[in-house]
Amino acid sequence: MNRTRLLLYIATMITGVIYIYMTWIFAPPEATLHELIRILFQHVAPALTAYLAFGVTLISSILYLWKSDIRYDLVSGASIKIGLLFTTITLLSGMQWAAATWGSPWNWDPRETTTLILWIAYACLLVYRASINDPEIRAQYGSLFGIIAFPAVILSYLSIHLWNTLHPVVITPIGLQMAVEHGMTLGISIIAIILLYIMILDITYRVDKVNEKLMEYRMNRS
Amino acid sequence: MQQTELFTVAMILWGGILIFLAYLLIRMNRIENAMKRLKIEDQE
Repeated sequence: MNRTRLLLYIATMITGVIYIYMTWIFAPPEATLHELIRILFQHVAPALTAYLAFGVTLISSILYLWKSDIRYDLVSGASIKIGLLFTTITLLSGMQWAAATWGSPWNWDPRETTTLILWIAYACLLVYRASINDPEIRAQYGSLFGIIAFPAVILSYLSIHLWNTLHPVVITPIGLQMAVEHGMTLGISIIAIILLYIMILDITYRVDKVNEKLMEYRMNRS
Repeated sequence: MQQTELFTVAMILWGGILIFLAYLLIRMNRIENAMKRLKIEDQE
């Protein structure tokens, strides 16, 4: 394991522990939501990280189409998987929160609906990529669809500004609409989950790369 | 009531991440086994 990777893993673990401490012990209950405010720290960070993951997919897709380097496609594929993981976490934790505060887990709210559309778009892309054996064709079409799917991210992010919604606007141009302790915990949660994303991306990329080599070995053999 | 919801959300977040890491571990294991098998077959 090289030095940078080791430092990344250690930093991820330390921020992870701080994140858990701040979420469950440091952050005080909120006046109206009481203890339910703790869901915020486990819902917003995965949502923002999912957007970041799909952003990485977009950039690596563009880079693949530009430079035709298969490594960019591997990054793109790995980032889709992790983006989908965090979108699933966001949807499920959001449903729990909605059930507790809005009375029903699913309300066809613009944010819920557009995030579901986002999930479906990238799930289709993942299935599509998995159905193609030829790495070149998979990379070409996968990159193309990796670019085409990205407006779903923008739509999901902007949905609370475009339509009337039940979803609260926490991050505004004038800052965070919450107590300082909650703002600090939210900040740490975002850093911790982003570091976790980078760590998982690194592992997934390496596993996918070894898998590519195995496929190549099999092809050469036959 | 709130305790149940908080526990469920924590399970969704950390359970989801752990399941994904377990999936990577299982995949890595399968790839390693396949590599070993292919090399043994080639040597034979």
